[in-house]
Amino acid sequence: MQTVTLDHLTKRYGGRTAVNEISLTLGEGVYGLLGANGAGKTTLMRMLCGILEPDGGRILYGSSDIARLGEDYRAMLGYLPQDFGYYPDFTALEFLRYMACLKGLTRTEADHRIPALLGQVGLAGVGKKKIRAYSGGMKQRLGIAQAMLNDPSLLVLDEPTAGLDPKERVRFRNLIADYAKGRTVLLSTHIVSDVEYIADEILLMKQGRLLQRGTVEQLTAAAAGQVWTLCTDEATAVGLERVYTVANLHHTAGGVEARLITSDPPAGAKAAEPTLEDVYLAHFADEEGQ
Amino acid sequence: MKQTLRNVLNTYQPPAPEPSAKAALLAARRTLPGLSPAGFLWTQLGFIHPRMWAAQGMLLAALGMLVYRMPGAESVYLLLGSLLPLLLVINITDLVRVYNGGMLELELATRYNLPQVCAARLLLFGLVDFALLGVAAALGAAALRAQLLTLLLYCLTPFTLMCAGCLAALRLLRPDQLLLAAVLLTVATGAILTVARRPLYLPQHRPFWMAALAVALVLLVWQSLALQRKGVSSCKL
Repeated sequence: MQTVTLDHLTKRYGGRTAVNEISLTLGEGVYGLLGANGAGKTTLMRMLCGILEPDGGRILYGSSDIARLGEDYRAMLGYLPQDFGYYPDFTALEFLRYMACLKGLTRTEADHRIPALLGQVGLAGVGKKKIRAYSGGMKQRLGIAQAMLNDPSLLVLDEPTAGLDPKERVRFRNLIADYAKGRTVLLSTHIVSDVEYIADEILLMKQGRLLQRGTVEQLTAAAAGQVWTLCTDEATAVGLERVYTVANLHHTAGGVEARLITSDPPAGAKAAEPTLEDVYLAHFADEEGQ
Repeated sequence: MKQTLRNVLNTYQPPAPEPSAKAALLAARRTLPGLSPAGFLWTQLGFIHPRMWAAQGMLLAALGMLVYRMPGAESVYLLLGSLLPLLLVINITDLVRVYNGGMLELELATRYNLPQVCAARLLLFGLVDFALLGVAAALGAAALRAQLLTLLLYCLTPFTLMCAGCLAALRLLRPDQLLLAAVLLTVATGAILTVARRPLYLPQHRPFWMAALAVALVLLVWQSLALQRKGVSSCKL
């Protein structure tokens, strides 16, 4: 299968650089793009989908620039934007038929794929319902279905699990893990658990730059010695939050167990096994809420 | 020599395709869907709201009835010349619906993207509108027992000018301004025709109409090319 190469990709909005000289190659598998709000994930994905033109650098599919490939590239692409609109008078079936037309599927192909996809995302029984009557989670599942409609070899999903309940999240994870065989899936999120189990590689993005990349094991191994647990009383725990990045406070019968992310732990702290969430917090604790 | 060559060809075993290249080809085949541009155009027809066709049909029917009740030739020319551009206003309502749907991001990342959807719809609208205009002109000609070409000249000229104006509006304005612009253009066209109807429809002024039609056609081609080059303003993120 063809690889997708981002070569010094840059995008600026006025004086702000949203994506700054990102270079990476995406092959087969699931890539989890993690970053805080405003890290540049959406801009990167829009450029990858050809919606935004980069101010610098280029994107290659195989050895060809995607700008030159045009509709041949878009034919191999599936995209779920963060907020996708729909025509209010469309039913889910009409919406998918419309998307199938835009994706260049024949009516026969569309009629074959649409019921199967609606079944896969758990919307088989409500395909004839108007989309405006759908809940947020149902709309999101419909969005996932449209992204997979043309059986794309590159699937780009921007915050695909927003609005999904835990059961739907698990279903989505299984669907993507199964789908990724022989294909490239890039999904962005700031919910660590969404990618922890299914991503072959994690890409950490901060302030437009690619901060770190690697498997979950590689990233957590790199954070060894930076995660600690400390059993203490409530008053001290409150004080700890002012000094350290606290990943978790667990109230127990004997007091509070605090999970700290620091390379300079307080006395009495015990080393803990880092998780991907700890890695995320280590990089983004100062950025959340921006 | 020939025998040797024949023997070589008969025993030649072409090498098997390289497995990864074969897999890549199969994968590419799987992801290259089969809808041709003509098929895309045809399929787009199904996504145009039936209400739009119904409104155009009603306009044509109303004009068809009115042409037989008009007091004179001049009034028929004026009626058709000033009201047929409403076909375009009705088209714009459908185009605005496409833009306001907010599916821009999805529609820009598909094989046939929004600019192509827009171009396909404009082509379909154009074909249907000119057919409807022909029917209206034929009705007018039948009612007046006049030459069809004369009616076509009086209908086509303001209509083509309106088309050029609407294409410019598509290129320059946002969706919420489009419909208003089309309505204003129609009103302005109607007002100009009404005010100047006495001299305008005199037979000796037909060369002026022909020149105006030629200018309108040039403007239409110019605006079509500009739209093709720069794209519809609303089809950009």
